[in-house]
Amino acid sequence: MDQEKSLIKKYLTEQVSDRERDFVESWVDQFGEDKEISAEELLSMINSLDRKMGMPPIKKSNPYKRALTIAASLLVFFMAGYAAFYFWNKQEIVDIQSFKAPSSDNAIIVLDDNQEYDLNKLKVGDTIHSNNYHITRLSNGEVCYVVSEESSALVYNTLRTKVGGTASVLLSDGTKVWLNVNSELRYPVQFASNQREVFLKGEGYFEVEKLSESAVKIPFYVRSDQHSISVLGTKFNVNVSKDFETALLEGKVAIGKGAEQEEASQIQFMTNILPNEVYSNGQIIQVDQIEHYIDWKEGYFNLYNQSLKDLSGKLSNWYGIKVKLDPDLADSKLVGRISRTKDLKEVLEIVAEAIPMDYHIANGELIIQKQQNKK
Amino acid sequence: MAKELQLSDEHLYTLVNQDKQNAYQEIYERYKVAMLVYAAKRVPFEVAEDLVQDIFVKLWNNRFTVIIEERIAGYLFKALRNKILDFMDRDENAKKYINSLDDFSNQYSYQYADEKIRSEHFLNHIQDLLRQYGPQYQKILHLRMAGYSNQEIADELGLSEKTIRNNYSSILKIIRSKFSNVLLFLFF
Repeated sequence: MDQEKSLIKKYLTEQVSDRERDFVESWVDQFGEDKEISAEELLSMINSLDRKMGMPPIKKSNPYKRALTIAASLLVFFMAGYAAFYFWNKQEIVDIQSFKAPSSDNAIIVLDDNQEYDLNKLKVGDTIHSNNYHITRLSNGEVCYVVSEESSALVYNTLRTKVGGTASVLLSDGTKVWLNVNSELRYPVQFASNQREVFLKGEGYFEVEKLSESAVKIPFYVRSDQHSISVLGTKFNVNVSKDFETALLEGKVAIGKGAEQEEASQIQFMTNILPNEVYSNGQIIQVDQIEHYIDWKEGYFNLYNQSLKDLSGKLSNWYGIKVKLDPDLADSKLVGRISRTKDLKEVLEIVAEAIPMDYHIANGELIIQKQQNKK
Repeated sequence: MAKELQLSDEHLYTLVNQDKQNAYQEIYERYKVAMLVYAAKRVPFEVAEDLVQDIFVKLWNNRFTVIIEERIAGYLFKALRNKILDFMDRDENAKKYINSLDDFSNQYSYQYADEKIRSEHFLNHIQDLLRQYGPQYQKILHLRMAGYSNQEIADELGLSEKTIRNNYSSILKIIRSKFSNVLLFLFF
């Protein structure tokens, strides 16, 4: 099979016959031809490319008079509005600027004896000791558990993130979990031999290791107060606070309703989803870009297929501020992506380029309104 | 920018050799969309943007040293095709390409012994892309999103209303459904 791959390499290093060259060129010329790209995706790519190239964006150098006049009047109104806000509400402007992006690993670990440790203070090579185990940060930055003694009793720890922090942890079976802000994962320091069970609040992304004990596959359960997931070896994102929205990247996931107290093995896992599917609100939908569901883990806000209302929810969560959104703006659609390392103010500025809006902070809340100008 | 609009690609490039940035920008505007589409159908969107960017940046950086003897369209797209193949070669998940190459060998027949003929064949494909995604396309997209009617767009571009309506009805459907709120917003 490597034969074909090196065919591309041979082509690139000009070690192919005429026939092979034509073959590769003909192949790549038809490869993906029927892939559909939507108008908004294309427009977003064009704008993104223009920005990267430092080319003046079309709107500003638009030779079409009418668009220019309108753009100019919008600009005037916006500037007038901004100036007004600036002078009357200097305080709010300062407040917006104080909403910085969360730093990673700003979280705490609660041990079984209820001792709390700030993860931030755990540097590479440091260790937190407890009775039969210790927690250490590896040289690659990962936080992992080392169990010194096998014990039959399950000892639980809790990883909790606050507004302003995400965290990730390596569990005893090699499963890796990332937690979004305002989330909590309760997990045993050492998994039981016949099943692996963790409890989630908020949102987490899991890369679960396949595990089997003498040919018997050991399931991994993610429990929340009302739902549960059963998996064998897979990559998925669960957002408990959003109707148990589960997005599957790889593997297979079975979802069932069952309160936390119920025994995992007794729960009926009625719904199965496959990769690139999302379970939400009792329904399963197919998505094109499943990676958008782990945008928070990858460090950006995905805007494709998101309304301004969706984004406001994400902003509220990420920056830790209540958001009041003008209902008339709620359904406005977005495209593209914005880095989550940006401050709230920068993010709002970028969104305002696509959706004209006014925003300010009042009483500790972010208020987003329709732009106050009429033709 | 206006006078560049009249010039052929080849003429524009000779101006690029002479350090004329406006000419370079005009070439960029003419090709960027078609190149993005070609790339984005074969590699991830972000990669597509980067590959196209690389080609144009290199074009400008080498403006004093590179003389292009062939059609500019062919030159740009061949460079793009090469970059795409290079990306595929370095892609960890190469299985999809290997499988596709295998499948393709069943439909493929070696027809073009002559390099010139192969080049023409590729150029035809590019022309189709450019016809569909030339500078007009982006303008129409923007005007549509700004709320212009078919007739107004046709007037602005000097085309018939029918042309706009026929060629771009599919775009309209998508834009109308997803951007209606934004449209309403901008224009009352």
